[in-house]
Amino acid sequence: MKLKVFRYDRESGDSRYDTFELDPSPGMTVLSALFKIQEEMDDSLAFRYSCRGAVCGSCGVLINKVPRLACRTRVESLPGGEGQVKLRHFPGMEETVSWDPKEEVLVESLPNLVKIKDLVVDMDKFFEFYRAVEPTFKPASEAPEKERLMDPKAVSELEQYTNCVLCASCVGSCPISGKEEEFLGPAALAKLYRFHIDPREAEDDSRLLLANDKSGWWGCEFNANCKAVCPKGVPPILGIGKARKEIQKLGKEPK
Amino acid sequence: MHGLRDELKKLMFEYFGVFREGKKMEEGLEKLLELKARYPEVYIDNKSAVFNQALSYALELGGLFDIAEAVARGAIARKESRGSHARTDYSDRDDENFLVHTIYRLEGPGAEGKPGGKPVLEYLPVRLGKFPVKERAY
Repeated sequence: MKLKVFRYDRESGDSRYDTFELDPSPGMTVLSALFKIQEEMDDSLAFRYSCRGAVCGSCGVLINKVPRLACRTRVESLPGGEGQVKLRHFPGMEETVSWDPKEEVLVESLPNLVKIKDLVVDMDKFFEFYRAVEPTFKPASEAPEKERLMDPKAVSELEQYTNCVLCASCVGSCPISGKEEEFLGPAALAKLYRFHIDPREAEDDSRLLLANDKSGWWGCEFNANCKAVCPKGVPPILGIGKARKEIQKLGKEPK
Repeated sequence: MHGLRDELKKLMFEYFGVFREGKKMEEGLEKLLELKARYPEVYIDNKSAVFNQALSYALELGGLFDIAEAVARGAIARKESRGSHARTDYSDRDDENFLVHTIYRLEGPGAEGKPGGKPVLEYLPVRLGKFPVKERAY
């Protein structure tokens, strides 16, 4: 088994691909393979990780041209084409190097984000957009003596969006994030929608109107890559569509 | 560097792992100190100033050796079994002597003015809550 890994150095600006040959142990993930390379073959390889169990969202990378969490992608499954995801065209999809999908696993940094070193990208812009949607709970009423009760139905609707681990896989695969600098992107918009529908928040339009322009809800072109690549099954496209419908109903569409 | 870290991992599992025994731990401590003495020779190939993970692993390894030594010395001195500290040579809990927190510190400067110093073990009383102290029966 061969891993073809994107290498980059911000200091020199040089980039290349290195191929590492390894014998995968049963169930080995791409993340374990990267550790093996770092420990035994080349200690200059850089990649982000933390939890190793798909809850922290640190290890989002482009694997065989699909953004995935390195820790929950098994190496063995890739050459056979298992779990292939059909995506609409986005910048990272273009051919960057020749590779043989039957023999090699191609690992690159997430597209649409500024590169720092090898597989490590600068997440500042991602979190800048995240902060811009004010992603904190704003209760409509003062804290009750006990807990705030919620209709279980509302909870399951909310949960679709709260499962996000901020890995930026959706942003990396979004054609709009790839061409519009100011587009908030799927993760931030999904988060904004999640707070809009939270029954414990005020029932007003403030959340909806916060992104009522081309850099927000109206920038989306419904390519659906976000939903297809999300490792946690979050459907940003669904929230965006619903938000747009609600705004239309209010008659507050941007001119 | 990774070789030394692997050796440390194996040593700690072997000598201070699930079941502990006084003599074996003494032996383990000796081996640990030999291993720790090799740490200053650690080198890394990666000279990059950007996101150099080899460098952070190398620095962390120094901390791991200090912690490993604290674990080793504390475990040897605690002649009882309590929770996950299970000793085959002292299988019972001993509240009379060991219902205490182990405090480990390094006293004075290390060799040649380096950080370090002499390891010192001290004990602090446990602040007990509302539950009476007794042996666990599960």
